This record gives sequence, structure tokens and C-alpha cells, in this order.
Amino acid sequence: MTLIDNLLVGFAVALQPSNLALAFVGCLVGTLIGVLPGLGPLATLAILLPITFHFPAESALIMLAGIYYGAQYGGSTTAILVNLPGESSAAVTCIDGHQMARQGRAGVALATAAYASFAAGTIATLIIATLSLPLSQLALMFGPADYFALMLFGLVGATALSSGSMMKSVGMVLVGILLGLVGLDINSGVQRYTFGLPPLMGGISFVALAIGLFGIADIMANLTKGPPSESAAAAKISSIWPSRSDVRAAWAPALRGTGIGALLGILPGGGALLSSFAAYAVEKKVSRHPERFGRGAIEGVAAPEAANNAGAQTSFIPMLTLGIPSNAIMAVMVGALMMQGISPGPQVMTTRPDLVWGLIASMWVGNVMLLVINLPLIGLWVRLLAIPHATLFPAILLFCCIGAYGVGNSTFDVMLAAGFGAFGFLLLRYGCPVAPLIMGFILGPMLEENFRRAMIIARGDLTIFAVRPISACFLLATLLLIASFVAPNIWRRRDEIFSED
Amino acid sequence: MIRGIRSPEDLGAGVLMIAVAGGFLFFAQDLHHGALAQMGPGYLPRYVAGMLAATGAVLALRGLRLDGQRLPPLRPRAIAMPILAVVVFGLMIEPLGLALASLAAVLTAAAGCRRDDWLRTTLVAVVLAAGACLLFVALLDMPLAVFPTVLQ
Repeated sequence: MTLIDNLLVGFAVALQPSNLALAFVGCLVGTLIGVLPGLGPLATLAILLPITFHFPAESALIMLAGIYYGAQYGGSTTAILVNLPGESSAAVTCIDGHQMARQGRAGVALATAAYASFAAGTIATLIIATLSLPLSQLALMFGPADYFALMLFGLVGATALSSGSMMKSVGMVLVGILLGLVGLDINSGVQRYTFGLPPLMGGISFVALAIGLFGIADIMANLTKGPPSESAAAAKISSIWPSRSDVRAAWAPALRGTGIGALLGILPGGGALLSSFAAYAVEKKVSRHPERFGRGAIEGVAAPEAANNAGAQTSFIPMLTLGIPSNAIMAVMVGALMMQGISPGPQVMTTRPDLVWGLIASMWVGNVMLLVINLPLIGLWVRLLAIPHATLFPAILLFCCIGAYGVGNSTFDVMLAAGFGAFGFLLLRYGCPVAPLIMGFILGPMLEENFRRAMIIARGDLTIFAVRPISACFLLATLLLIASFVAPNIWRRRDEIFSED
Repeated sequence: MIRGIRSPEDLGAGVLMIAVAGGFLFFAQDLHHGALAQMGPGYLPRYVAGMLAATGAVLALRGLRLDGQRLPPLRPRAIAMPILAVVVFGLMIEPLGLALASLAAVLTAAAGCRRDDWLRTTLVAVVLAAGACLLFVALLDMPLAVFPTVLQ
């Protein structure tokens, strides 16, 4: 009964005209930027984050979620039509989706992606609604030591599962933690690394950091690559209705993809990217005709698309129930919450039920909107790709500037964003992933606070982490995770998964 | 390429990390360290910076000994112009208002792209600046001055 009550509360919030409008605008703008190659959901969120600052918390979160799904979806559209993944989790969709497009079945591929995502989104929304309450009640039993162990598990998971060099991911998490420590130390009242600058007292502005590292640095990286060799020819779209045999071939993979995505989305470091790769690999394994994959198999579109949407949604679970982001996108969401003056954690569930359930209900609403927006507007999205770089990048850069300035009306934040832009460009140049840095930045201060509290309670006795059952479990899981990626055969498999990237 | 460097990408990443760690260690000098039971503000930064320096050192050594990625060529204009555009915007927004700051930022940013069609670029800049004023000030109601405030 409570579940239905809670969902009713949620839909009452999500269906308010202003929130409906924001979800719609979020999906639309998210798709718009997600379609552009080189700018994934993370950059899209960072660029658009400042706009949401002026809305109430629940509306801001609803819009951000819309932007996230929109960017996800936009990426798949370009993946299928022009073989350019707008974002990394759509890279798998390219393989079979674009082959379908070349066979004149672009419409069917797009529709399959849309329907599979919609089905996955609906199921994932139900999973979130069922799991959130019990998990947040469990989380209320956590002490500081348990939280510390959980965050450690989250950070290790995020580095282990992120693509690219492990060493570099670890380094980036550490850089993020250090940057997160800048500002007033709450325990002692001492200023750390502020150099006497008043704007740094409250810590580095999250918006300036995110805009610099993702928005500005991404633009620089795109510009150094030079203009694209030729404007990719978009495939013609004929029928968008899948035939009966298409539906028969696609429904089971879509469901399997949903399951895989929902499971991997909850894990730290999981989410959309890993989900879509895993779902594709599974479909290839279970198929009776694995040779069809890569030549336009509809299963190769339905499964990863369902998985990345389910994963994108269930990755909200740790954020909503524990207040701990499981990947960089959720870290941005937590950053948005903190900007609104809400400290994320299990208590949000009881203190702000309208916020949590409104967001959950809006996920489903957002999925309906994507279905409505995307299919009729495909032609428009494709035309966006024809905008020349010389128009597009200055426009995005201007958006970044105004965003960085607008949150605190602070020139200092604009300069900070410029500095982080340069730093982010160096990181990209030396192959360092930026996502773990954002994770470290958000989790760093929480990590320190909980570690210090745990140590004060235990009077400096480190064994407290092994004695408390909850923290012991997380530490054991962390050790297993480390052991599993140090083991050579897992190394090889990890390379295999990401070699298709 | 300098002989002896086998993976400039790894070496660069390592040196960058060591530099960041060094900065944080240097400025931690005045921070009280404390003990495990009663940690001071300098406790965690020192340990984390130490771990970062170690990670950077391993990466840098790997860059010297193992073959790896080469770096893409640098294009100075593409790197300098976006950063410059943001700085220009930051310097202009308060005294000169959103309209002029946007115009200047877009023109600077466009100089980073390879295109010599200045008429078109100017047109784009004017449209974008007007659009920004409309969107952020008129629609989103952000407290920004559109026109120069120093004249008033």
C-alpha cells in the first residue's frame, strides 16, 4: 500500500504543469546536445547544470534527469543514422544499428531503440520504487565506519570498471579528493588551500569545476582534432514500424538487456556504458545465429539500448537511498542537490518524499516524452549535425561562460572554469579519464568526514572497520574487487570489453 | 620525439600527477597533522597527496620503459582561443554587461576554429549574444546586466 501511496505522491509532483514542462525541456535540450558527437551526457549535464539552479530542488532534479535521458537517447540516434556515437554508451548500438540503417531499415532500428528503452525504463522505474524504501531504511543503520567502507567500495569500483588505464583512474580519484578538500575544514575551522581568497572558503565551485573539465576541455579537444573529414551521409528513413517478426526477435533481448542493465546500474562504477557492452556480449553468446551480429541484427540494437536505459535509471538507487553516487553522472546529480542546500543521504527519503518520489515518477514521464519527442523529430536531429564547428563551439562555450558566472554572479568562478578547462585539456591529452576525478571530488569530503568521525569514536583504533559487520562486508567486497582485477585473466576480459570502444 | 621516452602519454600523466601532489604537499606545511584518534586538517591531504605522487611516479617510470600511446599534434590556436574566450568573458561581464561580453567571447572562440569567413562569424556572434540576453535575462530571469554598467 505504501508503495502505491508513495508513487501517487510522486506523480502528483511530476505531473504539475511546471515540472512537466521542465521534464519536456530537459529531454529536448538533452537530446539536442546528446546528438552532437563529442559531447556526451556528462558534458551535457555540466553545461546545463547552472540553468537548473534557479528552480526549486525537485524541479531541478527532474529537469536534470530529463537532460540525462535525452542525451543518452540522442547518442543512439546519431549512432544508428550516421555511425557516430554521440556518447560512449551508444558505441555498441553503432555496430548493428548502423548496419540496419544501411540496409534501409533505419526507421525500424530507431523505433526498436525507442521502444526497448521505453520498456526498460518502465521496468527500471518500478524496480527503483520497490527497492528505494527498504534500502534507505537499511542505510539508517549505517555508522561512520560503515559509510567510509561503502564509499571506498564505490570509489574502487568506479576505477576498476572505468575504461582506460587503471593507474590513471586511481590517480584521477586522488586528484579529485584533494580538490574536494579545498576550503574551510569543518572539524577545525582552519582554511585549507584557499590562499586567503574568500571565494575559495566554501570550497571549489562545483559548477566551475564541471564546466571547465567537461564543457571547455571537451571543446578544446574537439577543436584540436580538427574539422570532421567529411559530413557523414545520413541514412534515409522509411518505415518506422517494426514488422511482427522484428517484434518477435527483439522482445526477449530487450527484456534480458533490461535485467542486465538494472543489475549493473546499481553497482558502483556501473551505469549505462558497462550495461550496454555487457548486454551486447550476452546476446551474442545466447544467440543461435551469432554470425548475424555486426550485420544488422535487431537483437544487437534492442538489448544494449534497453540495458543502457535501465542502467541509467537504476544507478539513481544508491544516490537516492544512500546519498552516494555510483558513477560520475550521479556525482553531478549529488552536486546539484548540494547546490540546492540538500545534503544527500537516506534521510532525504523521509524529509523530502516529494523530491524523491517526484523524481522517480518523472523518470517514467520522461520515458514517455522521449518516445513522443524522438520519433517525430528524427529529421531535425540529423540536420543538427550539419551545423559547422565555427558556429557550434562558440555557442556552447558562451553557454559555459554564462553558466559559470551565473550561479554565484562571480567573476572568480569564470576564471576558475577557464583554469580547469586548461587542466582538463591536459588530462584528456595524457589519456586521463575525467569521470573518476568528479567522483573523488564529491566523495572526498564525505570520505574524510566519516573517516575522522569513525576514528574519534574508536579512539584511533583502525580495527573498527573490520569489527563492524556492515563495514567488514564492504571492505571484503572491496578486497575481492581489487583481487579480481589484479588477476590476469580478468585483465584480459576487461580489455576485451572495452576494445570495441 | 626525445629518445628514451617510450610512452609520452603515460609520462605526461605521471608528471602532471606528481606536480599536483607536490603542490598539495607544499601548501600542507602549515596545516596541523594530528594523530589517528584526533586528525588535524593536514592529515588526510598529506596521505592522499603522497599516494598521488606514488601513482604518478609509477606512471612516469612506465612511460620511460614501456611502449605506449603517442601524443596527437598540438594546435596552439585551438587550445589558446577557447580559454582566452572564457577569460575575456570573465573580465568583461561585470563592467560591460552580458551583451558585449558575449559578443567578445564568441568572436574570440571563433578565432580558434579554422574559418576565415569574418562576415559570417560576426553575424553568428551578434545572433548568439542577442539570444543569450533573451534566454538568460528575459526568460530565465537571471540577475545579469545586459548593457555596460560603467557608463551609468
